[in-house]
Amino acid sequence: MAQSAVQNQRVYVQKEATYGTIPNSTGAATVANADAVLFESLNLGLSNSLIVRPDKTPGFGEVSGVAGHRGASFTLSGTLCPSGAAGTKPDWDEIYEAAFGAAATVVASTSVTYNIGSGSPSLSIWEIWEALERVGFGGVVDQIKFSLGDGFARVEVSGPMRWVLDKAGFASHDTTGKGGLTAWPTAPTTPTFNGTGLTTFQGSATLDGNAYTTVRSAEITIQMARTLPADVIFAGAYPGLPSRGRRKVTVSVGMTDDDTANLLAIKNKANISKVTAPMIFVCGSTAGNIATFNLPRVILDPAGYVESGANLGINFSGQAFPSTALLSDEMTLAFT
Amino acid sequence: MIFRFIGTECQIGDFPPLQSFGAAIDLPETLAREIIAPASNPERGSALLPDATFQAVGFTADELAAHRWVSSHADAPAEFQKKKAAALAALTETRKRIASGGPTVPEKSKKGGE
Repeated sequence: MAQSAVQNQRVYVQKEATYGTIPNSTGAATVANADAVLFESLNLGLSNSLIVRPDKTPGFGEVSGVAGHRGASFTLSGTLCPSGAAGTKPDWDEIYEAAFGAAATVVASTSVTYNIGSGSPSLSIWEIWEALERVGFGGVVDQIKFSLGDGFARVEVSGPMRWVLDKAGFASHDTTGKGGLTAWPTAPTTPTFNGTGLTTFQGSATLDGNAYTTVRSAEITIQMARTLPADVIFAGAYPGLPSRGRRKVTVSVGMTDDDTANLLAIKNKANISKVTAPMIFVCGSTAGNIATFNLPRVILDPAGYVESGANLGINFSGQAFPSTALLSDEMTLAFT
Repeated sequence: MIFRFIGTECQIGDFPPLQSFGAAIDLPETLAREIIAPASNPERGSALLPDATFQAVGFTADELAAHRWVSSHADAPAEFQKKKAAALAALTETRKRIASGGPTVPEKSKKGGE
């Protein structure tokens, strides 16, 4: 009997060419060493609830039901990590593409930039343990959150999935549940990881055009409102095609309060005028290992004060808006 | 086959981690092609150059010793920066060549350097 050590978990991520189809070549999965990603935690959740037949019975009991609509969800978190070579996409490229909804713009030897797009690319996420192998597929990113605090910069993505297929039960899944595979693959044996995790020790925060060295934390969240409808009929028990709702990009910043004119200008924008304040956060300082978050139009909520540490702290939170009703330029993430 | 690393950090299975600029690693060519230019996404992958390609860029031993750690590159002399840019451009070309089914090392380099 094999058991799985918690530490010995490998994760491979692939972008699907077709929603709900695990990348394959005539039924054989194409998952490869280079699809591996370093991560902190992965949670693949499965839902297959029982629906009880509603009819009355003379014995006052319930008639045993049938399996209801199926579905799944995922949450994946890890350290923000560029590739380490300028112009090379990071290991998490497929995840960022799925989150932003568009492929990155690559400038050779220079940069990889993610802009918000209109797509809903889907992912297959493989989870390999010693005694458990699973793949969640048809996964779309509903939310991505970047947390910039003391130490490593972190990222977390989550969203719904179509289904989770497991090696042990492979034969028992139906055709849709097999996601296009005809056999379970041998896991890649040489997972490869690129890049150095970013910390917040090097970099900068530029708020409303001025650099600050008093920022203690920042969090940027893109809520893409992607869903997999679980109420379609005559289309099997699995979720339907991805759909997306109204996007929302939010940001929060915690910093030490002071009486400078520049910070007062931000406070006035937050508390009174509601004029946009651009925000730029840069993590890292070594070429190939820098991430820049650019939010050109943030409108802040009224500032909140907090007693944290020796000095009074001030917290701002707000929402980033596109420049026109037709655009989706609330923010960009660039690796340089 | 020998490859040279031009990124910040790379871990390839059980191979020793690559953490310094110019570090050499002996990899099976098939594995190297797979991880330098993954078939599913050739613009992602490990920053490895075939040794002949790396040598052709012309880094001196002194330069590699002085700028072994990528954190020193921002302050490196212009000559080194120029060579590093050439190495990154060579990586792009290597990826394109592998992705199109071409040889890992360009024929010209093989004749001259291997």
